[in-house]
Amino acid sequence: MRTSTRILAGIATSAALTLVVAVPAMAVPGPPESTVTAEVTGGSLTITAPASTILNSAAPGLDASGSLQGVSVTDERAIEGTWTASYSITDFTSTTTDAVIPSDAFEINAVVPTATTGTIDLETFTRTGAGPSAVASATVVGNNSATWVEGILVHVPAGALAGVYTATLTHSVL
Amino acid sequence: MLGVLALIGGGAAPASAGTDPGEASIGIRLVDVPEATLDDPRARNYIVDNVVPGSTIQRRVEVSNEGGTAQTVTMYATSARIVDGEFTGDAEGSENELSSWTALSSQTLELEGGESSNVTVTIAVPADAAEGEQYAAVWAQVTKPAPDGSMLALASRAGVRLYVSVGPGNGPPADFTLGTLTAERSAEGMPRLVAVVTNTGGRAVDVSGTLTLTEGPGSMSAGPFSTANAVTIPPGGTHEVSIDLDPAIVAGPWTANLALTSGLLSRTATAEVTFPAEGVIAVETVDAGLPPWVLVAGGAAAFSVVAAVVILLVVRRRSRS
Repeated sequence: MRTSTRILAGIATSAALTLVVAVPAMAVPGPPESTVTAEVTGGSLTITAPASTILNSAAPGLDASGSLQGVSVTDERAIEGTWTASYSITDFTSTTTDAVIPSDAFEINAVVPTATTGTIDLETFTRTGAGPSAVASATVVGNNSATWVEGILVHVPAGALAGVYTATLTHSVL
Repeated sequence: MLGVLALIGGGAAPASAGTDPGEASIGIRLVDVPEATLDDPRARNYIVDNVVPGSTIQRRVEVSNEGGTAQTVTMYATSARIVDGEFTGDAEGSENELSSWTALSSQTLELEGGESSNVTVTIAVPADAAEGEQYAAVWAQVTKPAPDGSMLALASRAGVRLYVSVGPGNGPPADFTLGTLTAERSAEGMPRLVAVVTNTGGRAVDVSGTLTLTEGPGSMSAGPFSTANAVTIPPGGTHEVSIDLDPAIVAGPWTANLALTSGLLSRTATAEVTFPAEGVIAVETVDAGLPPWVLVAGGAAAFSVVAAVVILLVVRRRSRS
């Protein structure tokens, strides 16, 4: 009777010891940073837009137009995946008065890519309004790049006040 | 000239865009990936994680000035949404819960041409956070002021997507199913296969893949053909995924073998399809995954059950009268 109890106690002790030894080897759960991370080698996802563009003048009720030559995305992540390039635009505000031309008046038309490299399937879109909306969307395998041209229009409202208006056009890649 | 509005002064030196050395060019990449998800292509590029309420995760992103001149880079996080199959990052200043939990170690970076710098992204999920998946993006942005005579200031930003699920343990699993396959022909005469994909899991999926046609006329095979776009589908959402084929592909019949993946998840469907003649759209629809004999056998079984019930009713009526 005694002997068997001792043996049991011995097993229990060694089990407890094993557990104690095992704990530090296990990832400690809970906050913060319990996740083991590894560094990934690979390149960046890059977007390039021209430094500036010129829109022509327009009378109220007509369109101011211009173009962006050479918006490009360079994807050196070396993956099988996707990227989406989108735009967003603020309202056009007058530099001299409080007048505003709302971003609804904006139209952007990304046309067929002028250059691509790598394995890429690219679709381009025509969009209106403030966005954010996709102008180009790609499925890719390995490193790739695409460059395209965008036509832009501002439908100046018939009731707009004369003046110089400015807005910020942002191109994004995700 | 009454009423003519000069929107811009004009006359300013029209810089020939595209060759300008001052282009707004910015790159970003994710540096740290959890070891457990190292094999998952989505987790290598995006911050994809499940976080227990009350805990914190950290990842680094590397921001690089790919242009030739020094640039000031602003760093921020915004909300993001999945709209019509596209993962879309919102404009600067747009917040959701996830973006408000996200802090960056630098708000501004001064980078020389070709220089890069690491920024630490810290996502601190409060203890009372609701369970579920949320989307956001971390951005590196460069802005060029509008030059004289230009209406537009141009900004460029490159981002890393955040798919963060809040919940205990490893969080809800990702899953998706393939529904009906439809063989179509576009107005331009392009044969196309469309699959209805439903996200049946608890995480967003980015679905793309390939189609192979086999057992065609004269034992022909064709493909693989790739999906035109990866489609992002939120939990519970349904979206069509289409694959355009070569116009030279004959009508069929073919055995269509569709394989779609999202990260490490993979789903396949097989169906007998015949592409309609030009101008006609969607004539053949076959349920994915069920071989034709199942449909035939199922139909026969259903018919015999109905027939048996009818016979029983007739017999009972007759015996009563």
